Amino acid sequence: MSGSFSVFARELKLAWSGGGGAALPVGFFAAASSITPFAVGNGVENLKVAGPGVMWIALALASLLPMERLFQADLEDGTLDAYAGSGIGMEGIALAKTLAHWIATGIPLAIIAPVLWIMLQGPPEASWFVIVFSLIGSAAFFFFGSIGAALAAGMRRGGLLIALVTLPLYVPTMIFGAAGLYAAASGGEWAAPLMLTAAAALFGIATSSFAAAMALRTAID
Amino acid sequence: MFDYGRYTPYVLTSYGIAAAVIIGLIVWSVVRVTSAKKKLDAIEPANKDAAP
Amino acid sequence: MAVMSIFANPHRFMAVSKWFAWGFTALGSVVILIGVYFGLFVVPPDAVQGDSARIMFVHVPAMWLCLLAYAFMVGASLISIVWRHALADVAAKSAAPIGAGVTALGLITGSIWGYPTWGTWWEWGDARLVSVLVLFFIYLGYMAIWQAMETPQKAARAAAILCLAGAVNLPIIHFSVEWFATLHQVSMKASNEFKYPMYVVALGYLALFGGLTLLNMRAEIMNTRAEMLAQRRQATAG
Repeated sequence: MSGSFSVFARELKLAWSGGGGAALPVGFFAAASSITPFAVGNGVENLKVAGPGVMWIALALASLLPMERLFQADLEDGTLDAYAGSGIGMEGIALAKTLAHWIATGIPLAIIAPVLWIMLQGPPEASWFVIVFSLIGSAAFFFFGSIGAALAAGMRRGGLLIALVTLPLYVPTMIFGAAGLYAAASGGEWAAPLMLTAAAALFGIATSSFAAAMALRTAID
Repeated sequence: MFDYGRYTPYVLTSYGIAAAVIIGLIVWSVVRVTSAKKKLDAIEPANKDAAP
Repeated sequence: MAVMSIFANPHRFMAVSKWFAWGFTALGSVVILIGVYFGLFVVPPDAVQGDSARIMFVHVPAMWLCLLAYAFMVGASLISIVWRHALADVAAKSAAPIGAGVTALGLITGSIWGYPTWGTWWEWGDARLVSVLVLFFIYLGYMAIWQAMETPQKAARAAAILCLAGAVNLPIIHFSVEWFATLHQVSMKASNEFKYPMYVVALGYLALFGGLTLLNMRAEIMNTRAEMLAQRRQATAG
């Protein structure tokens, strides 16, 4: 167990420092949310209709940004090969890396979400809902994204392939998370969407490491 | 010959697209396999007269 | 090396598949034509939907085939991952474009059917429509992996993983959309006397799928073998 924990600790340190950490995805999330009023109209009614959905899309795309880097560097410098021979198991490696990146980037995304929510005229009293949904949703997006990241690892400019491969996997989280945000905004039933979004996230966490591990083993051959 | 009331353009367009896709898939597959056979025969003339 | 063996000695598969490949292609084409003839000229208009229901004869079998083609790919991907048989990789790769083509065909004909019948080109609340649309993107992603990966062996592994991940995800997507918007239940009530051309066309689509997949598998094997021989020749000549 100590082996996987030290891997996790290393990954956490790398994720936080490598490439400015959470700065780019958070910046993208903020920017994409900020230009929403220009596209959908800046009246309160327009934003009530479009705001939560667009913010959720922006969260998904912002989570997609770090995916290209998730396994690339370690594949190129041979660290993945070292991990493979270490006896920890590729599934644990994939899990540790994705978890570390989520902690470093996904949590900041969720923290900034209520700020963007209020900016998009969402009711401030729903802010706690927004944080919780964003935490769960970003976890789902990161773990499903890790499958695409593992499949495209070792490809130059694999970002487009990651997006194409991962977006179908995002659909259930999209549906349930956005439904939850709309419910939070209008004071409606939020419990069912919350449960379902959490289910999607748990499913992603549980299954993604197996798919990613298979893909990584192929990549290092 | 084709009179389906107000649905005629819809029915005909659908069947036309179906024909285009199916014929397209057939032509693409046949071209692929015949050119592959040609390529292989250039290098390995063993079964040259067999069907692709 | 099990990976290379099928290309080093493809004779058995090539010998067996030759007649099936061309035979099923021809048979499927003829059966489709027969079904279309029945559908367009023989059956009278449906009592409920009139002539627009004739579209179902090309649309519904396309949807059946798009799911069946993907199921075929899932089976082949499982065999590929568990037994590492290269023929399974070739089979999955060959079936994909055909599956993608009929998926697009089904989506387009469905949309054209929907407009005069239910007044809308598309319906996001219909779980089947949305699931099939996502399936279409999964097909595209699958084909992209074969194009994008450096070596065919890596592409085969990665593609198989994606195929299985997509298979797991599709029922979930279907459920999600259904949960989110239980708007309208579209039931296609038509009599059996009206519907039979659909089954004829479906059989034709199935035969055609088999034939075209086999043709593409033959092309794939021949191309790889030709490249292998060319490389070998270059190696010994140099």
